[in-house]
This record gives sequence, structure tokens and C-alpha cells, in this order.
Amino acid sequence: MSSLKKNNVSIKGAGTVPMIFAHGFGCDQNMWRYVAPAFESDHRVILFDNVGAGDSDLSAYDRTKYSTLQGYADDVLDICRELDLHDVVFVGHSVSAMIGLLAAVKEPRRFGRLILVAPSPRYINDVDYFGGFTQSDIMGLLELLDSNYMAWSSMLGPTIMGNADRPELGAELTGSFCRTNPQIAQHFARVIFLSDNRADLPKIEIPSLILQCSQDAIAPSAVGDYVHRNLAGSKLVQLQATGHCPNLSAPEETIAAIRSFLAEPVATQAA
Amino acid sequence: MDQELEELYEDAPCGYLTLRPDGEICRVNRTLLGWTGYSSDEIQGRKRFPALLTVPGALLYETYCAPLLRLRGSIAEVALDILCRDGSPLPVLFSATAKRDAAGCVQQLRVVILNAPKRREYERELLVARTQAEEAAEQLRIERSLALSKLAEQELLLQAVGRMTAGDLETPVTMAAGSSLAVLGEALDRMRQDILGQLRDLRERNSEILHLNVELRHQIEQRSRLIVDSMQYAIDSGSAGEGESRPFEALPILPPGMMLARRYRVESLLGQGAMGTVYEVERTSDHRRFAAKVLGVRPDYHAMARFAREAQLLARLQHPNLISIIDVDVTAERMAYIIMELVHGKSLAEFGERYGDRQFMLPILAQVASALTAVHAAGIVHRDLEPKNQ
Repeated sequence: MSSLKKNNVSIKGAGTVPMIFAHGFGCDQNMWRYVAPAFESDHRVILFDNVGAGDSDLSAYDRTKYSTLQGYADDVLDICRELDLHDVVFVGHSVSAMIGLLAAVKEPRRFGRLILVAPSPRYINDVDYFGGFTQSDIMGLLELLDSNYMAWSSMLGPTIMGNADRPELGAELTGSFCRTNPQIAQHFARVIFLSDNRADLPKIEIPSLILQCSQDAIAPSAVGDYVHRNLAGSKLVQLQATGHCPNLSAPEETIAAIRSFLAEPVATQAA
Repeated sequence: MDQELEELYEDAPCGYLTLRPDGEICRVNRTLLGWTGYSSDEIQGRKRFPALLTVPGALLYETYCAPLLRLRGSIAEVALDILCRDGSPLPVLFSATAKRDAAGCVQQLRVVILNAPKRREYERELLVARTQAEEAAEQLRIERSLALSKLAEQELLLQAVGRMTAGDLETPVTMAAGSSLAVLGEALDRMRQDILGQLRDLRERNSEILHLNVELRHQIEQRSRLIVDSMQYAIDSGSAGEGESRPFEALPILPPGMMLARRYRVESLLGQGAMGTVYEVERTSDHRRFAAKVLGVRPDYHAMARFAREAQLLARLQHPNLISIIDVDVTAERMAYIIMELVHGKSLAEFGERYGDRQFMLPILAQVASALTAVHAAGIVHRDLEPKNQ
């Protein structure tokens, strides 16, 4: 099956340099809707849904393949191969920051720059490592996801929602945003929050940018610092944006930080 | 009215919260404060909403609720756990809408909290029931697939039996390893090999018998020739023929029970001809029945020589439509006899009324012609072909 169909790939933009935007847990490519259009004038913007999210092909879901983040990273590489992409600027939010990193470890030549938005290589605390969570916190999250099975299921169908506050915008099909199969989401959460990709950080040599949010409960500053220390040639930018999703809560700041990074010459980045 | 609305807001049967776009709590109603044990000063303007939740709750809020609120503008009935001031969790259902300004920017989030321990409990029970139902369905699926595979194994075994009954003994009976019918399959295959072995033995024995048969014919021919030669010698030396003093003696009909050459017991008279008498006899060694032709006179050497020549010719012939010869000899009492295959039935002469019936006669004539071909091929001319001899 074509990756383009499997991952519901959409391609926009007038530029030639490919720029892939990858979404995190619980959402789909729509989470880049306030950021990605800003790069369409000078990039070839590529958006996709991870298998199990959005309009991806659910029949392609293979529990064994997707029991590690590498399964998702291999999908990113499939998309790169099918579109014959090189020197890709990869922008990954949250778990997709790690997915992009794993793809770049496997095929470094495909990638030009990595932009990691709110990344975390490991969520559970370890000896000499602060991830922000205990094992029981993560187990509690998985239980909570089970409790929300009904709520998630009810959100699968698209519903048209009117903008009561701003009728001039008319109705938008916002109800279809971030549809996720609850069973797959449950499994994805387990894979993400129990993963440990710390050993992969030193394998990266291409220029990278870490966008660290303020008061991010999922990826605290200590985690951003850890990633920065272990990722050679990386640049860390502290955002004013609070929470875990600056691409939604502070798109302008996010865009500006990415633009500034892309404007820097590669040679100085790698130095 | 304002007072009433204020009271409705503060003391509503649900918790109300107003959040800034970044999640900071601007306002909270008395109901929620009462449930959680916080004072408004501890919360308002001091805490972000995720900080009111348990760690798993905050994880779900940040990864799922917050982005959805931004994208969809609303979210409903998400199960979360609020962490009360005393550290106890409060199971709630969270619903919220985003209020945007004219430019479409989120100004604030309006949150409704329902105290839902019962509902959460029911949901948990529902989930357990769903898991159990899925497990039961899985179990059913496994059992069904087991039953189907057993059916397929039985079909395989039946096919093997079918093959064997149709005569195919060469194809081995193979069952999948671990099959519940493997033992039966193995037994069937042993049976197949056993029958196959017996069949091979039989074929070998049959070929040996064919060999012996050829040998026997050869011996009969030899003996017949010896008899003919000795009769000829007797005639030539003058010890036979008309000059002989002893008169020919017509042989009486042999009574049932009488032994011929000590090996054949006379059972009944079958018929009388010019040359001799035919009896049904039983070979005492194996109780097989044969036809015995006994020369009617003794000691007519000419007749004996003719009799022996007939035996000699018969020994040369082998055809399904020709009677086979088993033995020939002269007894101590100088009775010449020929032992032949016994065929029960009538002669063709007894079917005179059906001579015109083509369907009846044509196959018979074909068999007669086929037998005659064999006779002629052996260099013999019958000279006495007629219905009563057929």
C-alpha cells in the first residue's frame, strides 16, 4: 500500500526544500494548522497522520510493528522514499520529535535539520535522570484512558460545530479534528510513555533545534536540558508559551523560533 | 435577578471554572471549592488547571484535552481525577468550551465539572464487562477454529479411506503433526501398508503359480507323449491289435464313491461319449471338484494312443474359453483317464431355440472363434466343432 494513502499524506507549498510536520499523541496533522501554512511560501510542506490517528488507514495498524516507536519512524522513512525526499526539515511535536530522531538515526542522509517541539526521550524517572513521572503515574494514565473509552469512541464521528461567538466564520468541520481510535490510542500511549530513547540522542549529527515550553508538565525544562546536552550541535530555545502544545497555544512564537533556526547557516550549526 | 444568577453560579450542582487560555484559573465556584476543600485564594490566579489534577489526569489534560479545546472549541465528558486539598482523588467528568475574540483567538475556557464517582464506577464496570465479553468472544473464536480444524482433519481421514477403498494403496495417509486424529491416521496407514504388503505377496505367489502351471502343462504333455509312444510300441511289436488273444473289455460305469488312481473319488456320472465316460470327481487331497474322462475300453492300445494324444493337445492349449487339463495317466488297472477343469452349465446344443437371437449368439460365437484361434495357433485342427461340444 502507498504510504501516502496509509498515512493520509498531504503536500502543500511552493518551495522545494521539504518540510515534514509530525503530530503527537492524541491528535492528527490538524494540530499544525496554525503553524505549517507559514512555511508554504518557501517550502514543500508535507503533513501526515500516524497510523491510528486522523484519516490514516486503520487497516494498516499492526500491533507488533507499532509496539515500538521505530515502527512509526519506519513509516516516516517510507514517506521520504516514496516522495524521494532529501535534506528534509523535520518538525516533530512531543512523541514525534523522538520518531523523527529515530528516522534520522536510521537514514541520516535524508534529513537536513531536526526541530524537536517539547521532546522527551524518557518520561519515567531513572537513576540520575529526571523524566517527570513515576511508573505508577504512567499506569494511572493508562487506566484513565480506559475510563475514557466511551468519550473517545463518541468523538470518532465528525460533527459540524458552529462558531457561536463568530458566526461570520460559519460552520467548520472541527468535529473531525484529532479523531483517534481509542484502542490504538491506548496502545500508542503505552508505547510512548514507557519508551526510552536516551541512547539514540548521541547518534545524531545533523543540526537540531529544541523548543522548550514553560510550565510543560509533560516535558519539563530539566528534560529539555537533558536532550540539549546529549544532542551534539543542538540549539535550545525557551518559549514563553505554556503547556505542552506551543503549536496551538502560541503559533506565532513557534513559527518565529523555527524561522530563526532555519535562517542560520548549516555550517555554524554543525560546528 | 443578578443575586439569583450569582447564587446559581456559586451553588450550582456542578463545579464551574473559568480559565485563561494558558490554563490559569481565573474563577472557581463554591461548589467545586466545597468538593475539593480549597479556598478561592489558594486557587484563583495561583494555579493552572492541570495542577488541580492527579498526575495521570494532568498528563491526559495536557496531551489530549488542551489541544482538542484549541482545535475543536469544545470537549465533553472526559473522565479526570481532581486532587483534593487532603490528597484524596475526586473522580469527575470534565466538559469545556473555548470562548474566542473577534479575531478568533481564545480568550478564556469555560469549564464544567460533574462529580461522578458513581458514573466512573459504572464506566469501570462497563469496561470490565467489555473486556470479559471480548475475552469470551475470543475464546469462542478459538473453540470454533479448533472445531473447524478437527472437521478438516476428519475430512482428510475420510479422503484417505476413500482413496484406499478406490484401490489406491500407494498414497500414504498423512495427518498434520499434533492432530487429534493422528493416532487414527497412523493406524490407518499401518493398515494400508499391511494390505499393500499382502497384495505384493499375493502377486508374487500368483506369478509363481503361473510358473508352476506352465511346468505342469509341460509334464502332462511329456507324459501323454510317453503313453502315446508306449502304445505305439505295443502296437508295432504285435502285442496289441487284432492278433492279440485277450479280447477288449468294455469298462462298466464307475459307481459313486469309487476311487480313481487313489486320488480322485467318483461323485457322479456327467455324460457318455464314443471315446469314454465323463464323471464329476473330487480330488481327496484338497476337495476340489474336476471332470474325469475315462476311456471306455481296455486294453485297446489304439484307443489309448488316441486318448493320450488328445491329452497331449489339450496340454498345449491355454485360453479362457478352453477347458484346462490337470492330469493324465493310466491306472494300475490299465484305465486311461484325463482330469480336466470342471465347468457346470449346458452345451450350446441345448439353446437351439435361441440360435436366431443375435444378442445371445454373437458374443458366444466371438468366444468360440477366439478359442478356435488359440487352437489353430497351436497347430491343431478341431475336426469336430458342433453345438453339443461347446
